[in-house]
Amino acid sequence: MALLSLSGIVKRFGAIEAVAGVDFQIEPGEVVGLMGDNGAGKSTLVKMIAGNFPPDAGTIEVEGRPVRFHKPVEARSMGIEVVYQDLALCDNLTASDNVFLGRERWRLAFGFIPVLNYRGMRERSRALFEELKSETRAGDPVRRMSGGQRQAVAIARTRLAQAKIILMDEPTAAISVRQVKEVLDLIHRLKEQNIAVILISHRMPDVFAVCDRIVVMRRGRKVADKPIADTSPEEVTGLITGAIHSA
Amino acid sequence: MANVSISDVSGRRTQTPLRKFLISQEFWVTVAVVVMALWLLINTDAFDTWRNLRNAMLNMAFIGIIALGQTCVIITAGIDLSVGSVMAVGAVGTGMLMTSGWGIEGAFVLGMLASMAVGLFNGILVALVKLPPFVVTLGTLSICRTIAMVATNNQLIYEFGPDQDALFLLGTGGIGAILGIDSDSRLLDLPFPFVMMIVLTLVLSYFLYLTRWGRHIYAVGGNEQAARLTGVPVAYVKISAYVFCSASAGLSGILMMGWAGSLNNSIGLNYELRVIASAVIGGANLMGGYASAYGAFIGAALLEILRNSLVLLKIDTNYHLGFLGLFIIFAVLLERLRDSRIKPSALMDLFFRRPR
Ligand SMILES: Nc1ncnc2c1ncn2[C@@H]1O[C@H](COP(=O)(O)OP(=O)(O)OP(=O)(O)O)[C@@H](O)[C@H]1O
Ligand SMILES: [Mg+2]
Repeated sequence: MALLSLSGIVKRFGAIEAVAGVDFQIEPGEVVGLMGDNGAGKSTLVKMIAGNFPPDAGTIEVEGRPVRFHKPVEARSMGIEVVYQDLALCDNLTASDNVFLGRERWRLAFGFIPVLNYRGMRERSRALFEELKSETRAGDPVRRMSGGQRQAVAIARTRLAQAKIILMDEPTAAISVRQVKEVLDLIHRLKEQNIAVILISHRMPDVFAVCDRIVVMRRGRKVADKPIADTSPEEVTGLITGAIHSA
Repeated sequence: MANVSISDVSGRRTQTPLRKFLISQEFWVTVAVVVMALWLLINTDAFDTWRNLRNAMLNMAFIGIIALGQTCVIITAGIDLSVGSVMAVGAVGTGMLMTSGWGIEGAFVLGMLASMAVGLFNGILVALVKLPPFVVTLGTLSICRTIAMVATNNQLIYEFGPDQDALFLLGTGGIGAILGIDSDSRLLDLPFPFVMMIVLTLVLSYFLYLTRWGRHIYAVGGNEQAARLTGVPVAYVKISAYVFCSASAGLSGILMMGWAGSLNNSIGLNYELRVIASAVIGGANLMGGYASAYGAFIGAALLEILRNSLVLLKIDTNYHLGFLGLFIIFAVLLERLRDSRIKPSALMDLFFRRPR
């Protein structure tokens, strides 16, 4: 039984059929690259998995149980987390505050005053960054952090939530080469922890470096779904542009 | 590289709380307040009379209490221009009920509820209808002033019914007199509104730094979209900030009425300016995400000591607003300098940097 299984997923925006009947499955510890031209429907598909809106048709199953998400919290409660590139960090807070945002821990001071447990949260964050082998310091404000470190903060958030599936929409767009490597390393760490990752990226080398399988979408349809070993950047490029119809 | 830890390699260390304070706006404003106080102490005779100090504490309290509320709104990247008029709503509500024979407790509660209703209105329009805070609160500024004028029928009220003495005591009385302690100690003669401001500063500090609500309000100001995505109840947080701000304005208005001993409908007129100035001088960033309760407190202190010095130095009141303006600009300039590369804190680094 697949960890996540989609069948016949459709989503329309007015006259546009952004996702036109997609089947897709992912197993624990699997890293799947989702590729396709601009407007192919990748983000729309991932948003339905993340609970931003329900599909117009088709079913989503998590560990064999049908689900229908209307809000991101509902997906989150099923162990599905999204890493947003820029959107989801507060620059004015520390890395640790960001990791625990919305899930703050507290304790009783003097036995009766509830106060935030900063030390506990910082120690847990530090452990998470260590686990991810990231040079991110828990007590530093996010404002001064590099793109790679920000990714680590966002990913540490999902680790805290014990996510089973992590969705990443273009995590390596607009960051430096060195930082791309950091992010790819983070994805390897997630795989080691048996977490399933769906990675949307336009960068062929990144996808070939970390993914086990590639799914290509064109005009809302899935045109290819095959193990990395059985394909090549040339074939994928052809599939994306439409030079090759399907594989 | 074998035994080198990550923090050794990556240069900058995590800031200690002490170091953070020493490079903060709040610290430098505190220094300015102390310097100005010392200067006044040495160069004027009237400054350190108890009468003058007590008066200064009262003036500071009426502004400082609201600056605390305003700070919460500013943290969420909002602004509340209606506070001066909300002072009038609180005072007029409480004052007129007392005149008509109500006891102070009931009148106080209703006056506060009326003020908070304005905050709820502001908050809902900003957080749920998503109108710009500047415009919404500019609207309620006018509406609430009108309500106060119509309600009082433009009459001066100076008779507050059976609990009149209690009202005046709250506005000017020493904390000892209010608690029923008979003593000549100056500590117990600290005016109630001033003590109230200190208590509120401590309470707000607790909420801002040590509760989830505090983390959430900073998160909303830092990146609203991010806060929403991580499940922070953004609308609730924003509305609570506006309600608290209006409550602080209502409270200050009621206390000020007790201090003045009378009520006319111009109470609190133009106070929004001084309140926002206090918050900004104390380091509140109008872009949201940065401000502290202590900043509001010390900002109000600076404003009052500035006003007090101008009075003691017998400078024509026509100039006062101009000086206030200069201080606001200076405060924002100071903040900008701290944020930029050539920051004064680079100087501080010379003294507080730890060996590499
Ligand atoms: N909220 C929306 N309202 C209307 N149309 C939308 C909406 N979101 C997406 N679309 C349309 O759906 C189609 C698929 O968009 P989607 O964002 O899923 O593409 P994508 O594969 O993520 O592309 P990109 O690589 O540019 O991110 C596009 O034609 C887009 O214009
Ligand atoms: Mg997209």
